[in-house]
Amino acid sequence: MTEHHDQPRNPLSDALSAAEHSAAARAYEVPVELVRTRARRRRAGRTAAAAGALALVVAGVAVAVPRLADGDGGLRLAADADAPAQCSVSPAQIRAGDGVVGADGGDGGWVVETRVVPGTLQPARQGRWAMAVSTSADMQAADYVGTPLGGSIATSVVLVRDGAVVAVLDGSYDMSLEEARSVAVDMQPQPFPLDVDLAGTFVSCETGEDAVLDAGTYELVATSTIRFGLAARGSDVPGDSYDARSTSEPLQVVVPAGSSTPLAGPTTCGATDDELRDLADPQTNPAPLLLSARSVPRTAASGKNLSLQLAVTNDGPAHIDARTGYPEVVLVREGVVVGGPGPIEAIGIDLSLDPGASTPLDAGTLLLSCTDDTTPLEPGDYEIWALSTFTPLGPDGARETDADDWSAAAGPWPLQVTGDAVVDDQMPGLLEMTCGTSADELAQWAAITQESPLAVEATAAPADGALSVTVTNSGDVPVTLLPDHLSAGLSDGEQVVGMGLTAMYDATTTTLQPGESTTFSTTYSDPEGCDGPLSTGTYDTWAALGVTVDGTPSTLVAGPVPVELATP
Amino acid sequence: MGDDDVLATLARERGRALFGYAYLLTGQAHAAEDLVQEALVRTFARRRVGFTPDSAEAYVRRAILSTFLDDARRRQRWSGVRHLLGRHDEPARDPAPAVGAVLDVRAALATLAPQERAAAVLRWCEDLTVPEVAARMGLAVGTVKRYLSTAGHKLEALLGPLPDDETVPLTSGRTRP
Repeated sequence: MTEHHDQPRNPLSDALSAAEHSAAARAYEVPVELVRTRARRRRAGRTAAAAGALALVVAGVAVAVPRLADGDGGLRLAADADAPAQCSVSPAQIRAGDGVVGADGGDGGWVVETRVVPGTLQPARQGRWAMAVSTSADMQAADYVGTPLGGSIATSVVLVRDGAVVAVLDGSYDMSLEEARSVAVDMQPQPFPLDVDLAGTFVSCETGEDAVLDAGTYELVATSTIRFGLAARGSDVPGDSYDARSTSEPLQVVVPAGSSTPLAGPTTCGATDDELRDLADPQTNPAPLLLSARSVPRTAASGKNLSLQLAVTNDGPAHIDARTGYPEVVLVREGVVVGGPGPIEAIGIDLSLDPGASTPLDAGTLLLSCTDDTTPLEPGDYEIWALSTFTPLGPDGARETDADDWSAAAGPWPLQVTGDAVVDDQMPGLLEMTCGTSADELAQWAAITQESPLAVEATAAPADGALSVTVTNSGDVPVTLLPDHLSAGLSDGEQVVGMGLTAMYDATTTTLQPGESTTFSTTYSDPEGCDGPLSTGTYDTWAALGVTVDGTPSTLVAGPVPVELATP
Repeated sequence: MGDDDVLATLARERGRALFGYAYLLTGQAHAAEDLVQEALVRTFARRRVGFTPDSAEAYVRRAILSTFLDDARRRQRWSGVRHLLGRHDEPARDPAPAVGAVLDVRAALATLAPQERAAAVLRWCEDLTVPEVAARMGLAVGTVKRYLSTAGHKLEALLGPLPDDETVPLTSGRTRP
């Protein structure tokens, strides 16, 4: 636990514990089955979603997401846990939930109608569909004064055959009126008709996975849930709000034999590298942000993590604010994506780059076959490619409303995948050597380090201000090292009483062939005592090298090296 | 351990802790439930190899934070627009309720803007350093310092003095190999 001396008590220090043990927390249980189902569904749609294949592109779409697990109005699970909820009801039952309801429970005389716009429909046996769903609102007695304004809260699209729902557009959501009344939404009201452009793959009710449809005739049915109100003339602020749920008349759609769209996205498993090459070429990709390599390993072990450091550069003439995430990394062989992209933590990274400026981006993937994400890649030669998508941001940090995302790729970089796992669990974990770290613990860590496939030797001479650590690959397969820092601790025989230095490395990956060595060294001149100036005398110097070994963060410890401090 | 087992273990053993974290960020129980659920879905939809409950918890916590911040940014975009419905999920910014319950930390946090709240929770509840907070939030250190400065003034008015932001932890936790 971190200690602060001479500081006021932190009134927030117990807040996490208090929240964890609050009445609300005690009453809370993770809806494990619901999470599983949603995760499976999202995983199944990952390929398409990663390339933005499912998109809601329209003004007037609610920003807030409905709560999914809140009581009876929440997500309804189908009998098959992998299938969307809409699969468990009949088309007649879908329509039965339609209506308009206002705050007083009445419909205010409003009539709401939804339709699939025929000219927008792009069917496919397998892969991506596209369509537009339009919803209008009018009064039975059309003599109102003002303008109805509203927005779409949720849209669901299903395919029906022989009177049963057979597939559901991935990511679409059928929200009941009851649930609509219970959720808060955040939207910019728009005039009617409310048009929602949809694109995505259908999920089979039979398998819960991406649908491969039989050729033939289907009925397409869309259900829209909206919120709207009547704005006085000259105002853009609606008055009393109404929620409406409306289901379209079935639209006959013919799915021809052999029709399929390619799976979206250049990092999709099985995709050719053509699009990656286009996205990496400034001649064919006008994006003002360029992706490039700072540190890319040439050798890595099959099944293990591949870590690389990239850089994004503003290649345009103006300052750019944008948001991105960790780049996707794929392995290509014979022009086809065969590995990656691995699991990527979904975080937003904000960039603020003047013209010509760069910033680093860490990236990585597990060296696994993308066909099942579990089988290690076969040893051999591959090419590494990386892909990033950037969302332009306005001055207020929000997404630019009229701007499209940019994509940029970088590569190819050759990679030799070896068949042997190099380090597995043989490497030490992480140790932060600091004041008070015991000599026993450091000795134990040094022993563990020596048992690893790396031999580490330290030399130190504070009088000369030098500390070096030599790392030798004592194994029989190549090892990649990405150094982070090198620290020296001066011990009085019991614990660290002085810290010599902490050198931060400009991270560059080094590959050590069997028997090869590399030396990390730095200089310092004024070791600091933990409790004031160090007295003269003999100390033990311990070296702690923070380094990522074949994707595994580790602290290599070497020592002790006796040193004599002649002057305090 | 398979992902399903990891999820079940994580939910059983750390579900309340995750909820507590989300509860501090959102200030509302229902919002916290949604946040935890979405973070779990994001995490377990993406990661299937080499997961342990411990490592999964770290990712879920990060997903909680990023989901919360993303949502806050979206809300920010529409903050100037009057909504169709009066009800709103955002916690009240009015400090008065917190003054009435001086030591109610959650109420005090609820007076902060979302980014300030996230920075405050990471810095003073999770005890991260300012650079660590910046890394978690994907922001520059200077931006985080500004958030913390603003948040600190608001919180100190309600809760009393906070530790100096420049404090350097004297000891740090370690993990065994």
